Amino acid sequence: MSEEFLKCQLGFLGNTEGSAYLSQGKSTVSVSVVGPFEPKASKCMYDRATIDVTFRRKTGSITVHDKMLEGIMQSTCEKALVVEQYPRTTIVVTVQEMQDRGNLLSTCLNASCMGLMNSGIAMHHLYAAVSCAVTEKEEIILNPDESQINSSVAYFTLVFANSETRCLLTSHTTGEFSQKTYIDCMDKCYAASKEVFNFYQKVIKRSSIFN
Amino acid sequence: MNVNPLSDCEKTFILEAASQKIRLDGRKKDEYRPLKISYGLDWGNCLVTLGCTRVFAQVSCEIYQPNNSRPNEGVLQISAELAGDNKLNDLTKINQVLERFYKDSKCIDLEALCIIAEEKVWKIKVDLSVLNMDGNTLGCCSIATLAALMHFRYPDVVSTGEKVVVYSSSERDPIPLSLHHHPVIASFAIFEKYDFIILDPSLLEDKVCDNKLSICFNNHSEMCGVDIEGCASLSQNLLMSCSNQAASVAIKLVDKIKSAIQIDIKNRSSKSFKGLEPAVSEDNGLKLCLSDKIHFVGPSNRENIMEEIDEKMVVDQDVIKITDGTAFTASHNNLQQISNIKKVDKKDDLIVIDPESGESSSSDESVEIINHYKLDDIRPIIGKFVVSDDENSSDTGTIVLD
Repeated sequence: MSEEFLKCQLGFLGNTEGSAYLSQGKSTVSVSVVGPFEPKASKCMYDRATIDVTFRRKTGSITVHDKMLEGIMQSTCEKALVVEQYPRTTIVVTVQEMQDRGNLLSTCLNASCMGLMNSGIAMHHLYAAVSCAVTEKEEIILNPDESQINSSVAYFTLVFANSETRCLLTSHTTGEFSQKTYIDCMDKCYAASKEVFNFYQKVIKRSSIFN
Repeated sequence: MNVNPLSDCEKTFILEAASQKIRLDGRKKDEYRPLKISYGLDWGNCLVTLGCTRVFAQVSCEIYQPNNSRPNEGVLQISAELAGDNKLNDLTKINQVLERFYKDSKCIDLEALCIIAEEKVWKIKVDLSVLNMDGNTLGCCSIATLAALMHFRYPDVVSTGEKVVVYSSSERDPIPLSLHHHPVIASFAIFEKYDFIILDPSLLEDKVCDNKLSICFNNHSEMCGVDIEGCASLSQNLLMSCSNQAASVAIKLVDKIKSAIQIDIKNRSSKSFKGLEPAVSEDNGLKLCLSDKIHFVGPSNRENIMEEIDEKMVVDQDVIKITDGTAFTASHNNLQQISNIKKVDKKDDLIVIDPESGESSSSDESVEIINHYKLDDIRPIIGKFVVSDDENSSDTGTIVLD
């Protein structure tokens, strides 16, 4: 794990409701949150807001795998936001990949949470994503780098809410692993997610809203 | 991205300021906003910040079939997109202008990108993501395009007549694009009524001004293209003075890009280079140092599961109690009650067949535990049955059901 693990800059895009520019290790993404605004009639829902997450690759074209990441982000964001409070509107979250050196999904998720916090849209809970890789020797590496991911047996991305009790929101896994390994990873990731929430708190305290 | 519509009072305010030859942000009329170019880890990847306008560029390449009209030339494609879902602003205009200026000025040596004539050429694709629009989007896009193209390297390719070998960056160093010259666009906003011409307009100035003039110059002070938007008629003198200004601006911008690339290449050799990352300053941005030692605060799942298993074992022991008219299934070592069977006849006793041994787990008289089940036995059967031929069995020979 590198020394400077997370770096974040809030509100760096002027024309958006909320934005975050976050780097986690060597992966960097920028997130812009626009809304709630009036959508097209076809997208309009009378009792809730529609959340639209778009993931953009830096080269423009996205693959099926990217679509899947988009879906994971979409469902995680949707659960976190108080959609009932904004009926007949849409909230657009755009995640732009800027540099990918592993852990892209967790970087995107953390950045989207920071972006949503910056936008001031009502949320049920915050969320923090932590990735870990399991090596052949059953060692668990938190926030592995690219080569560690490639040589790992299994790779997890787990998302937790900032609740008192452990609340797993999203789990994305690849590779083969035993139940015990999964539970071990969950323990470690949950502990790491607490650190991420501390980081969120620090960033928000330092941000311009409180100064 | 979300651009608010222009209000009337903003418009009159800007025009009022323009009549006094003052700009809203206090800049002089030929002053550029601070320009920052930062490069990423990958080749041809940069983020250009001009004031608050942010454009992110990535150059990529692929092997492509050339156009029939130019069989020995590579292809250059520039596409700008708005990151965000706002259909109000479309960037087709910017796309067109950029393609025209950069293709027609022949700044890239496209013939060098040919691998096999008429069959395989490199296609260089510049993808621009406009993250934030705050005026002079075209100028910022052109800086990003040029900065990314100058930084980009494509993999080395060797054609041996029959096959084409593309070397990865670890095998052979990738080659930078050969650029003949470096064109860059300088944008002007013209307030015709007040004879006020400003360089690098902000978003509001961009919207209010009568017409926009974009002049593309290269670092040799050669004009590469002009684009006029709006309806004002421009005098020859005005155009000349603007183009002179644009020429000097272009030289400065290209110098800036070159120095940014030099700094990047110097940084690249150090191991701690991390490419694009948010600038961490006192007021905005924070870095987290995550140590390897993390206190485990969460509930330990493993213990919970162990406890559950213990409980289950206690329960299982209680369950084994065979009474009249009770059906059981045997699984592994314990019996589980499945349902109560109505007894039709008292004489029909239940039989439990134990596959392993004849040991009875219950002393209930109505349940008989046998090793082998005979076909003519009509009593209801419970338990687990293993079919096997048994030599010792009488008459019909036993079939054990499973």
